This record gives sequence, C-alpha cells and structure tokens, in this order.
Amino acid sequence: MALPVMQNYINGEWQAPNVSEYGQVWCPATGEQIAEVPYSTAAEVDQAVRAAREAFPQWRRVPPVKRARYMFALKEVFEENFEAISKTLVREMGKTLDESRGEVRRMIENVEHSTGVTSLMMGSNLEDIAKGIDCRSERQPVGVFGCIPPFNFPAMVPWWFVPYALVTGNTYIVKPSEQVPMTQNFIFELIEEIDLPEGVLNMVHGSKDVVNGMLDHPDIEGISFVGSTPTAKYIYKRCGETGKRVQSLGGAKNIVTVMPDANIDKGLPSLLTSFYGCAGQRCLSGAVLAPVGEVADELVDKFVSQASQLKVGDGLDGETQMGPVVSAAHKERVLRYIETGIAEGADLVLDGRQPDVDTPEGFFLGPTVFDNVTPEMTIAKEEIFGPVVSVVRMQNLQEAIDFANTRGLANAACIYTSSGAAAREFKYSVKPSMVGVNIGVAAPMSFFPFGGAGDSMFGTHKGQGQDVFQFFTDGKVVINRWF
Amino acid sequence: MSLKNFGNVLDFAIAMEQDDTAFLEKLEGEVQSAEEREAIANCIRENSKAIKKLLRERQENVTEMILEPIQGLEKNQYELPEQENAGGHEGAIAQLLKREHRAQRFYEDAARCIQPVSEVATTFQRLGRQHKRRQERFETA
Repeated sequence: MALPVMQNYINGEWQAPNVSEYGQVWCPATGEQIAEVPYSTAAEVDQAVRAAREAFPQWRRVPPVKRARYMFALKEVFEENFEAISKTLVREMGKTLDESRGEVRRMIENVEHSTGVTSLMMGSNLEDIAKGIDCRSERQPVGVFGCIPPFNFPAMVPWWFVPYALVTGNTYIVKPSEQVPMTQNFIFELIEEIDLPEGVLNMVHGSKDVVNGMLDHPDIEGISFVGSTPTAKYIYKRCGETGKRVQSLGGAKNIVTVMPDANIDKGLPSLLTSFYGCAGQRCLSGAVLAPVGEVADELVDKFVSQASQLKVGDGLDGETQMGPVVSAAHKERVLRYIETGIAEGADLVLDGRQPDVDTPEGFFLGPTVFDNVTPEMTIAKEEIFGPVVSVVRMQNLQEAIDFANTRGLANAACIYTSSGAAAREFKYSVKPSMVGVNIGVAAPMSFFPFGGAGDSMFGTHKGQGQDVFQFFTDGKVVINRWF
Repeated sequence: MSLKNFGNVLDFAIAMEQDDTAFLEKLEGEVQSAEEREAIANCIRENSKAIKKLLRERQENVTEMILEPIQGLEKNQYELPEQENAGGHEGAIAQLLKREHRAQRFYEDAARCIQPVSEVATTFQRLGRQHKRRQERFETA
C-alpha cells in the first residue's frame, strides 16, 4: 500500500510541491516507515509568503473580536478531534497517549488564551502629556510571520505562536518538523473546517531549504524557532542579518535539586516524570539529579528502584509509561552519550541500553541512571535529550545553584524541599528562567511566558503569555493636538 | 495488572461504566415491577452522564506538570467473577449489588491514588458516593 505523502497548504489549497526529494517519516514504536514528506524549496516558501502578504491587508482590518471568533471555532474543532490528534501524534513521535493528550491540551489552551486579544492587544493613553496634547499607544500587526518548530512537540509548539499571530492581525507560515509532519498536516485539515480567509495561514513542508528560504525572505517580518541551541543561534544570527524579529528557543540541561529535608516519597513520582516523561525529549526534562548532602544514597536507591519498574513500550498501549525516542539516529546519539559516560568514569547504576520491549525494531531505550557524575563530565554538561539521568552529588545548596548557573543552557531548574528559605534562595539565585518548587516539570501555561535564559533562549520575547502579543505587534505612539 | 497511568485509570472507569450500563439495560427489559424499572432507568441515565464526565476529565485534566505514575491500583481487585445465570431475578439483583459495590470501591481507591489531579479525584469521590447510594437503595428495595 502506498504511504501517505504530506502536502503543502498554501493560499487555502492543498498542493503537492514540484520537488524530487522526499524525507521518510517513521513510527518510533515499530521502526516502520509510515509516511513521506516533501522537501520543498525556496520557491514554495515564496509562494506561501506571497499568499500571506496578499491576505494581510484584509485580515488586519477584520476586527479583533471577529478574529477571536475564528479561534473559538477552532477550539471546538480541536476538542471534537482531540483523540484523533493525540493518536496521530503518538504514532509519529512515540510519546505515550497520556503525554500526547497533555500536549494537545496545551495546544488548545493557547488557542483559548489568544481569544483574550480584545483585552490583551489593547493600547494605552494619557491626556495632557503637554497642555492640550494627548498621547496614546496602539498595538498594530506587523505582517507575515513564520514558525520553525521542533520534533518533540509537533502539535503544541507551533500553537505557542499561530493563534497569537492570527488574532493580532498577522498572517502566518508554519514549517512542521520534517521528522513529525503528520500531526500538523492533520491539524491543518481540521483548520479548513473554520473557513479562514485564503492565505492567512499556510504550511510548507521541508527541511533546510525551507528554513533558509524563510530566513532569507524579505517579506517575512519575524520568525519563532524552537529546537537545539546551535540551530537557535544560527536562526538568531540570520534573522539579525535580515532585520527580522526573532524569538529563538534552544536546548536545555535542567538541574533538579533535592534537599535533605525533601519529602522523597511524595516527590518521587514527579521526579520520575521529570526525567523520563517523553523519554527525556523535553526542553523541560530533568537532566541532572542533584541530591544535597545525606539524602543522596536514599534518593538514588529509591529513584533507581522505581525507574527500573517503568513500563517501556508503544505509546498507544495504555499501560506504557515511557515510549521510544523519535528516531534511530536519535537513539544512536543517546547511546553514544551513555558510552561516553561509562568511558569518563561515571557509575552506570541503571542500564537502559537494551530494554525489554515487544517490538525491538522500535527506537527504544530504557530508563538509565549514572551515579557519581562530576560537573566536568560530558554527560553533566551537554544536552542528551533522552532518558538518561546524571546524578551529581552536591555538598550544599549553593553548590547546586552554582552548578545550575554554569551550564550555559539555562532553561529550567527545580528544587524539592520542605524549606521555604531554601526554595526562595534557589528561585532567586538560579539563572534558568523556568523554576519548579516541588514540581519536576516547570511548564508555564499559556498565559505565562515560556522560554529560558543564557544559551537556551535568543531574543527578548518568549513564547506564550503577554510576551507573544508584544512579539506579534508593533507599538505605535500617536500624539494629538487639535486646534 | 496495575493501572499505572492517568489515562489508563480513566479508561478503566469508562469501560466499567459501559459494562455496567449494558448489564442494566438487559436487566431493565427483564424486571416486572414498574418502580424497579424506573430505578434501573435512572441508573442508566446516571451511568451515561458519568461516562461523558469521565471522557471530559480525561480530555481536560491532563497536564505535564502532574502526569505522574500512579501506584497502588490493581485492575484484578475490581474484576467480578463470571456472571452466574442461576437465581433468576434475585440473582440478577445480587449481581447488580456486586457491580455497585465494585464501582464504589474502585472510585474510592482511585480517588486516593490520583490525588495530584485533584479535579479528577473529586469526580471519583462523587461517583463513589453515587454508587454507594444506589447500592443502599437496591438493598433496601
């Protein structure tokens, strides 16, 4: 049977691009190819940009309250197709069905939050800035924007941006990750049901050529990127060169500190979720477990015991607690980090290299734990993005804070403690800008900004929250005097 | 077999309500008393409402922050023995009581195990109380 082939969505129409190169889409749980994705070129990007640019003047004149109504309609469509979106996502990305449902929920929450545009896009004014002169500040849409999302959240991440761009009056282009294009393809099929005006929202599938085509295009005003730090830096630099607005979110190396006064038994379930949720492929995943003082032995024993019992398997199986990683190549990459950890002298106390699974052809790894990792080791410094925990034992809280602040990747940090003073000192002093207190996944909801610091985030406006309304609008100041 | 995931627990609850509904629908067609038939019809309506509520909970109350492994909920503790055909009407009512008791036990236990997702825990507690009331009503009838 022929595999499904993804198509671009440009100017309200599905189009098969005229290309010769196609990528393969895999089911990580079975190791089987399930679809093909066209590698579009700068020509298709240009076609989408032209459609979006032509749609912009009319779209920006649609009253915000009416633009919000499209989002209300979209929410309904997404709710009705919630399970279908979630299952498509599991199939191509590998995470568990619960994790997938959580992701789709987050996607919908962003659609919900965007409907507050009538308040959130409001400007401000002040009478008599000088005698008889009034001043007001207005927020106006800018034009065509684009988004380049990662593989790990194929449903949610584009929707950190899309609904806000649209409700503020901009037009948009999404380039789904070529590793997981099916979810967004399906979502665009659903979007057709709400009859957005042609050209307002477009999708171009592809890889590097599409990315570069977007970065180089003079009529794209801004780019939202989420992915690895090297690419985030590249995007940031290129957008700077071409004068685009940019919010470029990179990688992470998140520390989870456990103080001696922490309630370990209550905290363990969320610790496990932090490190092994989505098989460690989250920018909010715990990467370094940092027990402070005498709690270390008990914590590591209990953590390893429970981690070893997690059921690894196909995400569509309701009993599975950890799915595969996204691809064979990514599995190899994580395996290389495990070999590096062994070679550099860390103690491999839980070995997940050969998990017991029903379909070994899938890209599975089991929960893995290294103990006695030192700050200089590679596995304590670099982003692994897999189910590998590096335990770095700390003498005191300050040492844990210093460790977090010297990783470069300052995305998130968590602390488990019963002490308000320790929690306060931790959140006050750590550089990472998403902090969890007795929470292992410090995931801001749609009404708060999402993004890190240091090498985890390039740009000034984060995703979601108020930031994204600022990113997608220009502040115009009007000073009035009437004779 | 353990119920270890949020979705898994909700799926079990939904399947249990559906299974109980099928049993009640069969029973409704067999009972003679109009009063009893009305009571059973009420239960079917309540089950239908519960299923919708549980589906909504599964869709709306799942977030990364609290998606933690669940411990201490064993599926086999809520399995009923093969239905006995003997006993006619009285046997069927006895079976109904067992089902109501099973549902009540499941919801009470699941509410304790799923505490981090407090909205769902509250729903489970409410459904547990509902099944307890129904069990008591049928016992005294």
